[in-house]
Amino acid sequence: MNKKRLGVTGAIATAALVLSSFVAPAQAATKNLLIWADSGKAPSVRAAIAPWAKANGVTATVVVKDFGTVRDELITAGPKGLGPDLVIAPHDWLGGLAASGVVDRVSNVSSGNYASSTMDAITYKGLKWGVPVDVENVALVVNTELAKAPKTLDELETNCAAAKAAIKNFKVCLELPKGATYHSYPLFTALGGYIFKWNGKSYNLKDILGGKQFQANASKLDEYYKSGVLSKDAAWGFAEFYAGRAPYVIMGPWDINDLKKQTKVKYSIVPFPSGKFPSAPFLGVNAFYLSKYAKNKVTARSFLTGYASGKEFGLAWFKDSGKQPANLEAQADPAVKANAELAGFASFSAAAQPMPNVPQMGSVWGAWENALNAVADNKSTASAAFTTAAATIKKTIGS
Amino acid sequence: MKIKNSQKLPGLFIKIFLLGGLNAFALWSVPVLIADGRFLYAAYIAISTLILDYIFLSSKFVAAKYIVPGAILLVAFQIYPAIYTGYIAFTNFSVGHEMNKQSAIDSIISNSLEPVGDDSILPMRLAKTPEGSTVLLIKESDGNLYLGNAQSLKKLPPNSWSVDAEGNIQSVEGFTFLTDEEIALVLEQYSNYFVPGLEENVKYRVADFTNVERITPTLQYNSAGDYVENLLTGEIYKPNKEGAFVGADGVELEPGWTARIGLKNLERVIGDERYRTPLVKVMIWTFVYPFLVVMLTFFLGLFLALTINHPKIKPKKLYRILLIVPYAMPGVLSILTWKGMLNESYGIVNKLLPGAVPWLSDPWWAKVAVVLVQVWAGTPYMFLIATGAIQALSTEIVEASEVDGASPRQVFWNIKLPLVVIALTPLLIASYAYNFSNFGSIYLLTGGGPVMYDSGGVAGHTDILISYTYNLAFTAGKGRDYGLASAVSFINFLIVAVISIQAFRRSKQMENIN
Repeated sequence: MNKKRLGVTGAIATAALVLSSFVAPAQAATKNLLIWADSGKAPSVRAAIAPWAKANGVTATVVVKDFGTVRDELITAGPKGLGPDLVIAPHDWLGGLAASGVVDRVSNVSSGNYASSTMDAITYKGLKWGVPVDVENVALVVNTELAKAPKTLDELETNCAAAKAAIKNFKVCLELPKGATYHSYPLFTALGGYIFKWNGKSYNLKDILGGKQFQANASKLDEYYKSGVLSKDAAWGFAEFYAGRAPYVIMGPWDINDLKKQTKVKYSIVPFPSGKFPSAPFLGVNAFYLSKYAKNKVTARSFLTGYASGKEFGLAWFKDSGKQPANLEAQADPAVKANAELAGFASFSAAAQPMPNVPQMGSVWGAWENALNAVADNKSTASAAFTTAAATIKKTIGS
Repeated sequence: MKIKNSQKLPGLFIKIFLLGGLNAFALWSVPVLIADGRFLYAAYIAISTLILDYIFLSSKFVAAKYIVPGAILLVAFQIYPAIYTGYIAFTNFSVGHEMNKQSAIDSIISNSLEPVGDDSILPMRLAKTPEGSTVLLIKESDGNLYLGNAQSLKKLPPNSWSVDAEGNIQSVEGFTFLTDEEIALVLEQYSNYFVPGLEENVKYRVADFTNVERITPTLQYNSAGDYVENLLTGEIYKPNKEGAFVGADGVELEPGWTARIGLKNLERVIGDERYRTPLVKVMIWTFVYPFLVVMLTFFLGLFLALTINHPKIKPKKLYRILLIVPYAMPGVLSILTWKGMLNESYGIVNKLLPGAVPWLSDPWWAKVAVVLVQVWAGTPYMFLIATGAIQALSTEIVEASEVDGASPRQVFWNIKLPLVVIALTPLLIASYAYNFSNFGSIYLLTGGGPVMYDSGGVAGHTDILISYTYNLAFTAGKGRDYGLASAVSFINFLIVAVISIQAFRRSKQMENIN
């Protein structure tokens, strides 16, 4: 080996060593907790966890993850030891996460802290997973200058007929965007609909989209499009309601900021009226899930059972996010109760049914939306459209 | 090594720096990959690095210096994924079948842990024995204090310890409690740590900083018989061929594992009416769509090229720049812009037209829309290469034919067009193959929609094979079915390969004629 070759080899080795030294991990001797949250929830998680972290000497790190990719990353990063300890996610992800085996059960959270429907939401195959953080559901928002809050579906129809005659440039009475599945669920249930038949313990995945119960009332949906209760021209954005030309709209708590910004109409938030069947909104629950591959399981469990399920956390969560905390004691707190909008939505939450958390829901949305679109565009009767949709969902779930 | 005089010093430095970086990367990544159990990747990186070092430190192998780095990347990022996709096509890799069997069993057992009794949460403290080993001190609900570690549980004499008014362990003779700092250091070693309990099958698990939970598994794996048993009901779950434990009543335990299921995915695609019916329609459109796009872009591009190439057209450069704009614009942007313009109720296109055309919601109009938009996006490219081809035509032949009395029309159809087509055939084939799998254009404009009513929302009327595959992978079944999707993309790959090979053979024959 001559001198020059030695020099070259030496240079390569040096460069290699220098670069290698940058990647040595640092050791820390504190309790750690790593949480994944999407950008909407991360600030609230940071704010709400801070007092507990300080009191217990825990370094809590909240990493912002893109909402759409959290689930996939959890499944791929977890087994490699790169995943989080906890992830906060909507409860309808639970089925997929549990079926993939990437989350651990949290069995020792007191059910008494939550409404039973909230606990149902984080129950999958009879087992409880996760710790509920906040709850949300849609409700009927009424323009109080145009119409009264209806007590029954019949009353809604009469009010709508009156509104049609009285309002200038009337286009639609209940401004439900065309193809809106989630938002239309209260109306669907009032007509006897459901996604999967709930047998008290789990979903019957073979009894889909209301079955015979809905078929008996399906013609109402066709009727509504003809009479102007609903309109195929209704699009997302609630323009008619904001302009003071539509008396009713179905909204969620997340729509309220926009409502306040866009319009000055006087409104009240009330339960959607029941028809022949009780009306129900979907219940959405955000919850913490414990990763199966968590490196700090003891700390994570301490946080979940010792703090996240309690009143204090619920209040801190409400304070930062403005959302209805899942914890019942926190819900009963005067600070939360004083919020008129949340109270309005809460008035409908007793009826709420958890959105199904089975992984098969992926096949439902598209077919359901098709059915609603077909009815709105008068391409098919509601009865036929929902029969087809149920059949296609059955086909995709099949096997 | 002899450094040539011609090799300049800065070049040498850059070379050494780059090779040093490469070696550093290899030195860092190989141990990491080996520790992770990924021996194939580790070996590939190690061998590639050695080959590259050898080639670049030597003054020979000039050709290899150009070819080898590209070849190494080609294998890593093109050939390996293709083979891997082919492999996945023969497995049931999907939601609920993402892990190996052992992990799935671990998961099933740990999910079956149930608290024992209403008082399952018990006070606990971490302490050191006089010998210096760390143990758990557990205050059972029977009023006794126990000393536990992973192997055993031992009752401590009742007079050797005391609790405070709230029942917290206060002092224990012979043991020193861990300080907060010490706890922080060792705490997470107890994440998956179990202390044997007082009864058979009952264990303690560290529940939080100051408590343990008394738990028992309700399911047990029998490795001799390879089955899972429910300890409460005695029900037996046996493994099936599709990677799951199934009970006598057909109930599957979740999660399952990734299993090789042979040709089942292909059988499903071809044999199952649920997938076959939409697949046939999708397949037809997958052939028609790129054909229309290539034909229209080619003739439009050629027409524009001929027109602008005409001597009488003056501001040639301006026209060329304007025509290249759609090509220079990022495809994502222009497709999304088109999506907005084609919107039925408030899009500009429908505002200009007398009637409302259902561009994106009618099966036929949606097909027109995806073709139109891709023609808009693809024509500049054809214009560019057609201009090049026309300018490369030898003027002698054209002039000779003109002298022979050929009309301009004859010159075009009999002289220019055949020559241009021969020159451009390989590019037309490439363009066809590209549009055959043009996922972005379809996905961004229509998302494959409008939905085919009888496909359960999986296929749409403008779906081509690759976007159908995507829908299949992300919406069918329990949410994600990579195995099934891989089977379809494998079919897609085979078709593209066959078309390309055949077409290139043909174009070679044409060149020979020429």
